[in-house]
Amino acid sequence: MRLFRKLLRPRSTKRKHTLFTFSATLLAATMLAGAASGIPNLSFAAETHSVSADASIGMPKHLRLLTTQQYINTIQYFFGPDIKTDVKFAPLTRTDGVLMAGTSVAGVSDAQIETYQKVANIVSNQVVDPRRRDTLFPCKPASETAADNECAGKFLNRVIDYLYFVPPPKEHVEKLVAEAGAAANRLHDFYAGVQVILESVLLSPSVLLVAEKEEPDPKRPGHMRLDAYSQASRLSLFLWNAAPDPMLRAAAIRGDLFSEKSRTRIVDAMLKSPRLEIGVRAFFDDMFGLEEMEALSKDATIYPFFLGGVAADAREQTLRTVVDQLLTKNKDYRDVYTSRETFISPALGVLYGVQTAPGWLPYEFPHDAHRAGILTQVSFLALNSHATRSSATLRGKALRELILCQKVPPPPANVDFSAIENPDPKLKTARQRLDVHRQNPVCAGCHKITDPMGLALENFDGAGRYRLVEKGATIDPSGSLDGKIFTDVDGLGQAVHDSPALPTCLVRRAFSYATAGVLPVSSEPVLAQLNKKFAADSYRLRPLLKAITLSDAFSAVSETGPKPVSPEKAASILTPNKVASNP
Amino acid sequence: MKTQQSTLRRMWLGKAAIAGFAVAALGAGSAAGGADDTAPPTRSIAYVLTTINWPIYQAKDASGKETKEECPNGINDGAREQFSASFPQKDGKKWTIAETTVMREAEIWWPTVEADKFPFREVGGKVAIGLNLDGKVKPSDFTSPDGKITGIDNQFYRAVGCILSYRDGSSQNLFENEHFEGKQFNRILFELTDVDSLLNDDDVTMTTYRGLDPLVRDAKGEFQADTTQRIDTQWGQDFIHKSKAKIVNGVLTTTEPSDFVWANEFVHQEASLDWMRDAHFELKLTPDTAEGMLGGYIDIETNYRSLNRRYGTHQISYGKTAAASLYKALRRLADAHPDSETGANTAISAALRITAVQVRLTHPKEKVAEMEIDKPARFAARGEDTKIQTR
Repeated sequence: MRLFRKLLRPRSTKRKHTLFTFSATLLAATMLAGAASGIPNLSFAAETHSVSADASIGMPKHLRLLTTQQYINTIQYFFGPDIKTDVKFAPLTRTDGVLMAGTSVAGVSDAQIETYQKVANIVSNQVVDPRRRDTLFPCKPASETAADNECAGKFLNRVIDYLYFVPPPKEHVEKLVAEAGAAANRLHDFYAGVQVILESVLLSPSVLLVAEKEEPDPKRPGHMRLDAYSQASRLSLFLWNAAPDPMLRAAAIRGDLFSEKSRTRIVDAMLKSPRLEIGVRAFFDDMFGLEEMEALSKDATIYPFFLGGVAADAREQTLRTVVDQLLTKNKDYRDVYTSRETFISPALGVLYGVQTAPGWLPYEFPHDAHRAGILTQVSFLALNSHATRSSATLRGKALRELILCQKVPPPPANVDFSAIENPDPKLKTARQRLDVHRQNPVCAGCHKITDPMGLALENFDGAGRYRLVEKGATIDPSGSLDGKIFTDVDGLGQAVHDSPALPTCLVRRAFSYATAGVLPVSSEPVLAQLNKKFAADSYRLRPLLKAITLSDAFSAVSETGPKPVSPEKAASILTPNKVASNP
Repeated sequence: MKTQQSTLRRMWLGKAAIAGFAVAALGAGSAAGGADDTAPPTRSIAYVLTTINWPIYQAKDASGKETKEECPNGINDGAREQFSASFPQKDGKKWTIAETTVMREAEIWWPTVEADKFPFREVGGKVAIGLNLDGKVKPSDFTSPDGKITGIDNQFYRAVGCILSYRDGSSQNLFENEHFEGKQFNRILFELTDVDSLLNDDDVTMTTYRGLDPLVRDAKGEFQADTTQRIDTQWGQDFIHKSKAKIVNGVLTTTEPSDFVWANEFVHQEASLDWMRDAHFELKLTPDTAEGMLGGYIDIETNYRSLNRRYGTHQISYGKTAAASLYKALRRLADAHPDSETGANTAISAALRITAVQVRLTHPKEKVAEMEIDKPARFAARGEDTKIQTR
């Protein structure tokens, strides 16, 4: 166990951001499968490098934990989409606005390791299942009741080559093959022997963790960069939300990712791949906090129509809308907040009051429906409400924090919520109740930040259904956002669309997500250049993703993050040939 | 769109409260002059049936306990009791399968109107639930439990009212309600068009359809309104019937008879149909629900085949339904649609109680009028051998 922990723990106590504490459970499970002694290449996670004298670009390298969906995507891409995983890893901590940044500060509990082992067992059993083995194995054993190291080797080499983020030493694979053979002979079953070893591979830290490794950058003496495998992993996890595929691995091995021309070609290919949709969905799911839809529930007596399928479909609706607008139709990101185009399912039809049919259908709301943009979709409205009522404050806060990257201070400890939670019955609408609440100067400060735009969404109840009145009183949906005054939710959508903070927030979130880390203040010049590029590209998503992935800041390593630099210096970071060409 | 629907509900609530005064002041059917604010969007509204049951009046005393006075001779014996009586196990008699089971099956599947070997206990009371279909008050007619409706035509009740499976809490209600909801083939819709008011309109059109989509219950377990139903035009043409109706004080009454066909897919997808001829509807409408009564003449052959197709032996037996005896009773009490050759009546007066919730209807590209050609005739021609394909 000490050996195992030593392998996983950073040697330098100064680098606390990647402290993983794997328990004996994983060790035992892995040893049981005969692979414990072969855990390779994790020691580099502990290697220390002196901070570059010129850390003007680059982000810290990380030891990242795969998210549930990344693990599933990786498994299903290799073994097939019919492999059932039915797994949910422990929730991540939202850090600096994105969950992805939480993957580099996660801990791993015993219970979580049991989860890994369970899913590894489930997957490995499906892979060797007689219905699949002929497809997934590149060979047939000489005998199904005994070891066949040649066939097992072909299979395991292929699996490890794909699943390990870094190729292990040859001896490691040979040891696994030998263990598979020994197990097969003991169990008198070739496939059972392979299954045992495959299970150990699937719960290996080499599969579950991405240990980014740095190396000196020959083009910029004195600077560090991610090595080829780490760059490939970062690219693939960002754009496809899965481990690198064989094409990307091969490119990494050839060193293509260090060549500007080759790297551009690879990124272009990734951006054109259908797998980009998976990556984009994962990013916006993260940015909009949609994972919370899984636990969303409403009071059945008030919102009886809000059934289990509604929350899942509302999440899907938003993701479909985003993908349709930004990838399929290549529209301006800001239009996501004003477009009436979306998709409708039967479960959502009742809430939106529209005709449906089985499955998902494209749908465009009428001009007078006040359903324009994702702020008027059930996912945003219901998620940012209470179980029994709407919340102008929660909606305003979510808009500020999730969409505009602005921080709303938490309420003070001594706040008096009585005007909201036990209001005077004469106060019919949320606006009236909040007016009273804001008379308390302790509360007024923050509510001025959230309520003027949140109240514009009061025509939607706590489940996201449109309404004109609350408790018999007509709702006033007027409001303002950063000085821009509007009369209804359509005006709010336009104000958000026109807000300078909207595109810059996307850039910030995307860069933080791409590098899986908290952005230091000194990264602002890099973000400023990306913002310029995004604007120059008319706020199209693909060019932004390309600019991020081709930037030196994406692949350079700086132990403490970028130092403050002048805008002129920052401009040189994103050289024109790396950011100008659109896919 | 949602705004319109919400407005409709709000306006209906307000208007319903003063509907009585409005009707009194303006006279029934006075809304013919134009749409009011209870008129549904696009002047049409549709509903999907959520339950359909035979209303069986069961007399109770002041404490709520059943007196069974409507069954003075008691509850009928069922198939099991008849079998025991027909084939006694005594004197060492050995019965063959052909003498017993096969013979009984033949009696069920090839029923006759010959005198029943067993006593059949008809309803003997004068009270029943239903509608006065012919506008007359005849000796065989019933009076409603509250005494307000006389001349109720419901001879079907006379036949089945003392059969256990048709009575409250029996398998009939239990299973059929469950399967009417759960089995997809049983989706029955009706649409009201040309509606200028949900409270008073003397000229609306009612069309029945079969739907393609499931019923949805909300988080409180109630049927969810405002879902979408697609009309089945591929296998559902036998269900499409149109009639004229009026709405008075929020109650829809059809003003001309029409056929009403509904589906009875049961436990193992034994889909079968029931056919009510000359049907009249009386339904209390709201923007979200419709409920009330349906009266007409049940086609006996269709009903009997439907019963035998969907019920297994154990269900028949536990519900004490002796099918062949019931057939004889239905034919004996039949009171409409005489056969052109024999003169024997082929249909029996009956009532149905239905509940429904509002739905959004998706019409097919084809026009309803084109699908309506010769519907009753084709259905009658197919008769008992009609093969229903479920989807």
